[in-house]
Amino acid sequence: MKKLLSLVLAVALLATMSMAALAESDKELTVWYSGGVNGKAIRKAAELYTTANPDVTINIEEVATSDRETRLTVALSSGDMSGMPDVTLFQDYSSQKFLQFFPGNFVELSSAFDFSQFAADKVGYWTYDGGVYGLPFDSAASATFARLDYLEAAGYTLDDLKGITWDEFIEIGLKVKEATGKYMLTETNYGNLLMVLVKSSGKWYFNEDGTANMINNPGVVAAVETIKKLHESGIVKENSDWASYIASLNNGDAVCTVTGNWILGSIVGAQDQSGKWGMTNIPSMGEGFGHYSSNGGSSWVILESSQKKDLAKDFLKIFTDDTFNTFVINELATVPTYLPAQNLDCIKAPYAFTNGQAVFADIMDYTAKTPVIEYGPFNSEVEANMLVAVEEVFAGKSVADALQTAEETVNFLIEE
Amino acid sequence: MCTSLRFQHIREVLPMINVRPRRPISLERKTQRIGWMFIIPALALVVLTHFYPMFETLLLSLQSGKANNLKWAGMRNYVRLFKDATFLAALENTLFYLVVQIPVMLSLALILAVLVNDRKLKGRGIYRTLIFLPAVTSLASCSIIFLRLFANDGYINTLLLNTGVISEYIDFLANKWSARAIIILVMTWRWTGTNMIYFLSGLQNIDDSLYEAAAIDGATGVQAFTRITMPLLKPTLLLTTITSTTGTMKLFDEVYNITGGGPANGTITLSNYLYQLCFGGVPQYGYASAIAYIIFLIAALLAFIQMKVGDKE
Repeated sequence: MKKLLSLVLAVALLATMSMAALAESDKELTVWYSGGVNGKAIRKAAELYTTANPDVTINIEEVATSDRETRLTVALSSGDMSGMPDVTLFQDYSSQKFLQFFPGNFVELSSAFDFSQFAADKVGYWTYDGGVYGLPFDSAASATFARLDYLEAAGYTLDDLKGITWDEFIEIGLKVKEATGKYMLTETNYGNLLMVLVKSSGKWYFNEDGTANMINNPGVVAAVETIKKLHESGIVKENSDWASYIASLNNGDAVCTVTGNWILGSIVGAQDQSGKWGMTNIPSMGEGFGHYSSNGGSSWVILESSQKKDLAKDFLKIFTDDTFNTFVINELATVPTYLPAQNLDCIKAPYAFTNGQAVFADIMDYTAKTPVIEYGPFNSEVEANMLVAVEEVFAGKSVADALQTAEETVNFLIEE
Repeated sequence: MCTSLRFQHIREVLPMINVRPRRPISLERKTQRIGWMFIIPALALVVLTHFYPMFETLLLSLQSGKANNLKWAGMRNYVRLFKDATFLAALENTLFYLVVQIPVMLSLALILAVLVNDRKLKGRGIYRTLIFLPAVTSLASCSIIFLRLFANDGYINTLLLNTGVISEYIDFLANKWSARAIIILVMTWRWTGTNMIYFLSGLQNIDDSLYEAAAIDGATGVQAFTRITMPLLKPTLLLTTITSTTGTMKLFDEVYNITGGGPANGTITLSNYLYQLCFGGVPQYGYASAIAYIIFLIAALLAFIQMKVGDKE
């Protein structure tokens, strides 16, 4: 009986294995994405593409951002690409790390797409050695999103937040907190804001030779000093994790958030606040620093290990499709970085959630004004050590000392 | 045990009936061979999944470079470690957890084991289950539970705010010492039950007659505990200390999920840093492997000391 059972099980196992092998036809694509807005976008893209091409099947699998990169790192390091998708969403932030340290594993796309039609800031992330390896998706231009009703209660309007400095922002924040009891800004560990601020200086963390430059980098020094002022002012709700941060936006605890415009996709989650939100550019850190920046954002890449690169390229063309981009803008409040999309009617149409303000056209404008900078591959090292520096400054260390340590630690990790 | 007894018996009997066993050694060898055959599959798996990767890790720890561009570097990684501020912070934190958390947890586990071992205690099965229950929770889940408890908008802050004890939330995770305390709390909550079960099984192996005899001789409860329970529990104590030590040396999930190593590397562990080096930034597998060997060496050294101190026989 046991023998029979094990035989049956073995046969069943073999059958499912061979069926799985057979099932992967040459008209089938596997795509990795992460949840939320990206998930809704890729589901729509797959739906549109398979309607037009009924013989194609698109398997979409949700893999969290950090897991995606960890799994890909393991596969690329070991050279065993089995179980890897054909197409995957990729954080722009990690692009150069993978392009420079695992070269030859991503498909060059400029033969299939005209990258002059995409936002230069996004294309910059994915340019390596003369080629472009990622298809830009959402705009990551930073913006200030603010609750109009709270501002009004303190006697301010959205225009009072436009083109101001962070010092002025704090001043307004203190008055708004006094009038409404609400926190002027909501943040997590300042990781996102740090990126926004440094990039708004027009210069990133590195010298020309690739070494880290923090202590003698005016943008970095100003960013940490600004964050210190914000932390000490008491106008910031500092959330312990991302879920609390999103909750603070949706439950009315906070007046503003300053981050990539993709946050709008989460803000509109609270439909009862429709008409109460407005958007403007970000405060500047003072003389010589700008009001435009970007943070976060993702692009689509095709892996060289894929057997179906042409099909994958053809599928990605859906991201330049008007129907798709209209859906993304109207339904997901996400702005594509495909520039011809700015001619779509929905871009200029008044948007009810932001009290009629045509935010998508504004975001397109911010995207064009975002400084284009060289990122280099060591962003995670920089981020980890900059957060340490910020936390040390909160605990009483001087900005100069904290940045000195951060610069030394990052250079220690880079030199190897 | 059983088989060797039986063969002793056969060997005693054989000369009596005056039949020389033909090849007694080969018979013993044969049973040994059968024994080995039972062990080999498991042994092969251990070698393949443990010793082989350990050997590869050793080779990797002697190479340096980024991603797959590795070059032989001798002991350079190990020398480099002691110039690395993050590594030293992680080492300090890991040893801190070791020194503070293990004694707290084991004393608590022992006290609880003695309490629920009391035959007169009503519903002790329920107590045992409840205390053991956290051990079946996944590490990530209990980390998230504790994060939600101590978050700025978490249960504790809400409770304190609503009862008017505080007027502004307390950022427990932004302070090094309170963050460490939370890590120790979640480790204790998660692992005390497991250790209590070990102690409980140790306690149940102690013959009741010893306590009865001691009671007749006029020993107090405390005397019975220190003179009978403690010495007889020594092997269990040794086992729990060693497993807790190796567990703490490998501590990862709790810190990763609750504090992410912060504030300012105040809670980061060796395993967290190792993971960060492999998957956080540009991979440095050689350097990370050297940390893996440091963890291994410290755990082995501590286990050796504990065995020397704890088990003189």
